[in-house]
Amino acid sequence: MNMTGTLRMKAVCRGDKTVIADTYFDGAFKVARPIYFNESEPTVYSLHVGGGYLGGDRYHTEVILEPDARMILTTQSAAKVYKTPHEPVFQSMNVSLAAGSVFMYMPDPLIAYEQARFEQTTTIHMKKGATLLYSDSITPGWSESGRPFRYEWIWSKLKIYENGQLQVYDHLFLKPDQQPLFSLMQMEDCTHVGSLFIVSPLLEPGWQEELEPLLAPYNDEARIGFSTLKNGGCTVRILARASHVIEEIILQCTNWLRRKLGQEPLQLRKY
Amino acid sequence: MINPMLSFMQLCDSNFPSGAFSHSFGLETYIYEGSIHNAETFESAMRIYMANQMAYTDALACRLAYEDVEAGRFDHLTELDHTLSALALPKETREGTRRIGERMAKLCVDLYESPLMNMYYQQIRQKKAVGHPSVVFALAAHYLQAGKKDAIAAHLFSGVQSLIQNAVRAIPLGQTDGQRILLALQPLMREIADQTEEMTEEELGMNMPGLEIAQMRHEQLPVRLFMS
Repeated sequence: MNMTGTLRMKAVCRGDKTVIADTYFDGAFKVARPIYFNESEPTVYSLHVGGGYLGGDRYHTEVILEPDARMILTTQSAAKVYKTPHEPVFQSMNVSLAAGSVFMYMPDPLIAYEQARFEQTTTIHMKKGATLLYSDSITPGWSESGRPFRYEWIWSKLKIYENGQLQVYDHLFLKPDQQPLFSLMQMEDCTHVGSLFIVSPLLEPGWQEELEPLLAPYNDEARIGFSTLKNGGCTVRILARASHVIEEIILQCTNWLRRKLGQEPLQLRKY
Repeated sequence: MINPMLSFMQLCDSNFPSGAFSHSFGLETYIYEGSIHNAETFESAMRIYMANQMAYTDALACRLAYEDVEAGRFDHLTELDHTLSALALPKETREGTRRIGERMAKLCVDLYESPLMNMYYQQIRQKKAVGHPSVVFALAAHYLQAGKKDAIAAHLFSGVQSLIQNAVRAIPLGQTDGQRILLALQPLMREIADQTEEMTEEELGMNMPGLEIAQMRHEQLPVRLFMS
């Protein structure tokens, strides 16, 4: 398969510090040198050297964290998906997390423009005892007609396996022309959707009581649901009308987890 | 030998004690918040619910399970059962579905002499399977010699029927309104049953963010008539 962009990296724990031992990138994907906002944990920024995603583009990312490694993966800017007249854009990501590792995935929003078709498949294999924070958000781009939701469809599949057992399968399909997206049960008058998943041995039963007061201040700006996953993990689904609202909510949840890990609040300096 | 057609009617009857009576699958959140408040708002919500959640989860799962039974792919059936459980992110929906699935399987084991149903129920008891009503329904329909398409349509019918009965109690609606909606939704059931034939396995469980949030928020409702 011819890839438009490929990115592979492996994080290894050396003493108290995680180093990115192995990085490979090709085509439209690049990674900058990891930044250490604190001494032990690298933050890796991936970037797209082209202006955006075009029809027929295929991207693949592979991330491996060895035992006790810690890493944050983010993007330098939003992924923009433009018109895909012939073929959709396909993006896949595989993540493998060894015991004791901590991986936080915090990309910028995906912006889907008029007539964009985008398919995303994410598969995460983690060992029990690893910590995962996965977030993403989808935003409609500006369209010539001035109306939101002119993207054609977005199809997103996220599977999380713990010790080989499928625990989470998040399956989202948004197709504005087929379904009245603004209606009840769909987007409910919102334009932006955000998702968050946390699986960690540090989440103890009753975590909902800690999370609820953190989310309550956003109830006027967003419609938020949270629940307990099969393996005791946490999922948060957010509908809002602006990207920054979703970003703030995800940041609150991330820092809540970071406090449990004894880590400082997240800083993501973007240029 | 039992009469297959009459037994199939019994399986689809609203008196069949599956436990679906106790679950609204998020609809109660909308009733509580007022966006579902009469026959009209309920019927239009049902149409969206059916065309999405019921089509891509219940109907497609029933079709896939039926095909597994026909082809003797029991391993694939168990995998389907696990996939369905992982797809339900809101806890109450996942737990409610599991309870209904287990209860239906137990009942079917007591009623029918179906070796496959017995095998599925034993798997549930041994925690090798989770339990899902669409899988149980497909096994029972196959045992009762119903065709695949009839099984899918009947599964949709019984799911719609129990949600309507719950809405009649919760909104509340008149019994005649309930029956009128059930009749009005028949063409959509047929349409979804047809459409299910064209779906790929990759489409299983495609969901809607709004409904999921309503199902999650049900956990925090101060007053609840239903368990989900």
